[in-house]
Amino acid sequence: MNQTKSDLELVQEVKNGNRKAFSELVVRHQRSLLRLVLRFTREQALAEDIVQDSFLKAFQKLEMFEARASFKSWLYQIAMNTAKNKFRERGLELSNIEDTQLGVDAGAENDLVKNDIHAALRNEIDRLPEKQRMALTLRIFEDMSFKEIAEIMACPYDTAKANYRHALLKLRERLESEDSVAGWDAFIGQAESAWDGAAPASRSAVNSEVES
Amino acid sequence: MKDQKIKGPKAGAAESAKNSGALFNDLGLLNDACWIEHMEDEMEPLCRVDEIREMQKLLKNSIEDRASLESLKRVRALVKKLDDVLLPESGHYYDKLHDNIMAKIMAAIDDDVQASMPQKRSRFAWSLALKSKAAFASAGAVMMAIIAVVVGLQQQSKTGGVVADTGAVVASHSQQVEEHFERKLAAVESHELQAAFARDMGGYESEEDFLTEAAASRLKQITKRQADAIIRSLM
Repeated sequence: MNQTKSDLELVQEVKNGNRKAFSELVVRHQRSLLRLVLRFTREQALAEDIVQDSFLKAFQKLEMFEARASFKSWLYQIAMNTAKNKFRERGLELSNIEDTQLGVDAGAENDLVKNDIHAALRNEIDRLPEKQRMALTLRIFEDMSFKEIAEIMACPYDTAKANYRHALLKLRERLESEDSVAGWDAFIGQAESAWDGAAPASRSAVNSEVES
Repeated sequence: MKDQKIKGPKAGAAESAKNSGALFNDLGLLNDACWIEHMEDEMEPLCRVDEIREMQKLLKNSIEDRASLESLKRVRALVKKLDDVLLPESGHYYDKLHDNIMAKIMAAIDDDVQASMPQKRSRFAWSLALKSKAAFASAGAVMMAIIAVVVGLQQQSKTGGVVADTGAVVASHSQQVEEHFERKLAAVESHELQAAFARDMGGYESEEDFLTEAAASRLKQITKRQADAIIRSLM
């Protein structure tokens, strides 16, 4: 029944006193919100805590929601801010959250990742400034438009785009650098072989293809 | 060979660069920002239609530009493959998460209600005090009449005479009783009594129940104590 109703309609029903409508909003968004938060925390218990608090805050602040952005974007924005606050409560600086989490997760990820490439690339992403990492994550993993990213990050459209662009260029630069795990071509080759079992298609391969 | 391939389109690109400012870098290559926008298919407003055409030409003819775009695509693809978030699949897990969220919300609502209770109770106590005032005033009027009659009869029996003006006696006594009740009512309005009323309200289903019992209780006390005092003062 509620599936036919939009988020905004459900929000309006909640504002009119129908709490069950909020329950439907939770059902709709809890999974995607958990996934998003897990990307930044990589710790399920903490992610669940943040998700619960985010929905609670959303409910409490629903009167302030003016539908200028989608409910989903607004909810995600609350979740991002809640996550930041949780980290602060734990006495972590935002700048070193990534390092700390990486240290914690390295062991856990061993069960999921069978090679060093994954960890190396993950490390490069974690080294990105917070806003760039957030823009990159929302764009590539969550397939969001830059408009949505801007809403979640509470920044102008162009800023969201610029953060993403800088992130991507920085990653490419690091991967191409001498200091990267095994150099650009080797890295790409290993990565693609590891993930796809496909033959490496390096930058030089592209060049030779064009030149030929 | 490579240079020749690049020089052709690059010459055209360089011409475009004069008009498009930061679109091309110092080497005459298209800015990476444009390639990223091309890749993401969100090209406005940095790249205009004529520039898009120019980009298509570059992709067809410029090795370096094509390589630049390919490298960006590859980095993006690699990052995309890092999508390693493992979500619980069980529907039961999400049912439980949902229930926990709603339970937190309900708990917060309860907390809000409880937090607002003292304020409401305080207002209610004021309301009770005012209503009690009216109840006491009514009871006082009844008491006043009874006492006046009793005192009048006592005086009449002591003197053996006839009270010449029973109405004047009753009026005098009424004034004294009224003054007494005014003092009592002033006490009722004190914060202490208001707090007591607020506390007492817990055991009553409605304001009316409380008022009835409170008025009866107070009337009983006044009858014993104050009626004697009034009678003594008159004798």
